[in-house]
Amino acid sequence: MEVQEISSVRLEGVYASLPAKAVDNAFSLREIYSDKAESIVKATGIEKRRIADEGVQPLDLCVSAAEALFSRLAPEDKKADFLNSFGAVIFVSFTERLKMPAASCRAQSRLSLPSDVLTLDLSLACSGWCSALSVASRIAAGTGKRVLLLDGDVQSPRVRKGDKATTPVLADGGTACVIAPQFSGETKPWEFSFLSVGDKGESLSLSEGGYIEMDGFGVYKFVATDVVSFLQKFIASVSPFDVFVPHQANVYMIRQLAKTLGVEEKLKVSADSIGNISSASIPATIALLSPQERERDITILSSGFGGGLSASAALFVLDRNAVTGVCEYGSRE
Amino acid sequence: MDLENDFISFAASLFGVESSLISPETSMGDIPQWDSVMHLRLVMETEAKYGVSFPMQKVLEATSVSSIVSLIKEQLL
Repeated sequence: MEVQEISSVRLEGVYASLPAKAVDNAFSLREIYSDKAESIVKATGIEKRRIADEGVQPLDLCVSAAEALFSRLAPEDKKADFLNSFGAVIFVSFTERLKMPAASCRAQSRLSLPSDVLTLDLSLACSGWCSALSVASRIAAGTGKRVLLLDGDVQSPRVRKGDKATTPVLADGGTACVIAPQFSGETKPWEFSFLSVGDKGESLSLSEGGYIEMDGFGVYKFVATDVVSFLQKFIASVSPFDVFVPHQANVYMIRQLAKTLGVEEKLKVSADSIGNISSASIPATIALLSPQERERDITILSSGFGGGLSASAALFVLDRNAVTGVCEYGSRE
Repeated sequence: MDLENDFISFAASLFGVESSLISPETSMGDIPQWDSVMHLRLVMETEAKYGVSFPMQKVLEATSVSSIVSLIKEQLL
């Protein structure tokens, strides 16, 4: 296995913008599962799903998260210098409705970032955040400039009505992270590995009609075999870590995965309270870490897996001074 | 009711079929209601009902009534 190392970078902040509407899964699933809805909730471990208001796009949520993060990272009198320190904007999503103009260009404009930033849209679904983090960290280390990494999806309009595989788990959310160059002081290198199994891609796809099609058993098989093997090798190759933040597919699957890897006690879960928001589920879980969990510098092992089929793994540090938080977007009802 | 019959009743209820349609030899694919999507749900709900936890690899292998019942018994011992 190839493990790629990237040095001289720091994660300055991670913010999530979640739809204010938290749908009670047991209630909402009664239509398709009738009296079995409670048992589905118990089995998947997903009690609430955040669902965006009609018309809200992933970029709206990501920009909202970035605005909240920027306000924490830079006081108003230093905002201009802060914004000018960015060299790139990366936007990760597979559900943004408007493909052109690119969402990263629209983010540059909406956030008043400099016109000379590199803009890049990536469509990777579940494994996307760790892959994009590797690109972002390379750019930050290579250019000496900050990189804004936006990752979000609004999946709810792409769930086919009554679909039993996707309805109980999929949800909406957006995130923003700032990756900065760090050339002074000791920094622990970040480590990355990737896996692509394109011949199994049909297990998770977006149909021509725009709906998410998921062969749950096919995805489970991929995770139980390919991803387990991939992560076992990654864990054996990299430095020790404090917490395990996998893509929040569903609570059942990630507990199974953590148990198989022998890292159950390090597992962090957010899917129970927000649902599976695709690749943004990793930064959202980090944004939701409690102050107690952030009291010291922590080394995080993250892994995205799903659409592609593909997987990615990242090991990086979130220091105690990094800014994290969550804001809400839209209406509660 | 012994564990095997209890599980058959449970699975039949989940699939929405009569218990008589399910025997210890019934496997995924033998009845239309037990497809791969339903298999995962059967495993998840079995774990929740009986308070057991199956290893990931076993979830892929245990695709018949008798093999799932054996797994439950192993865990409950």
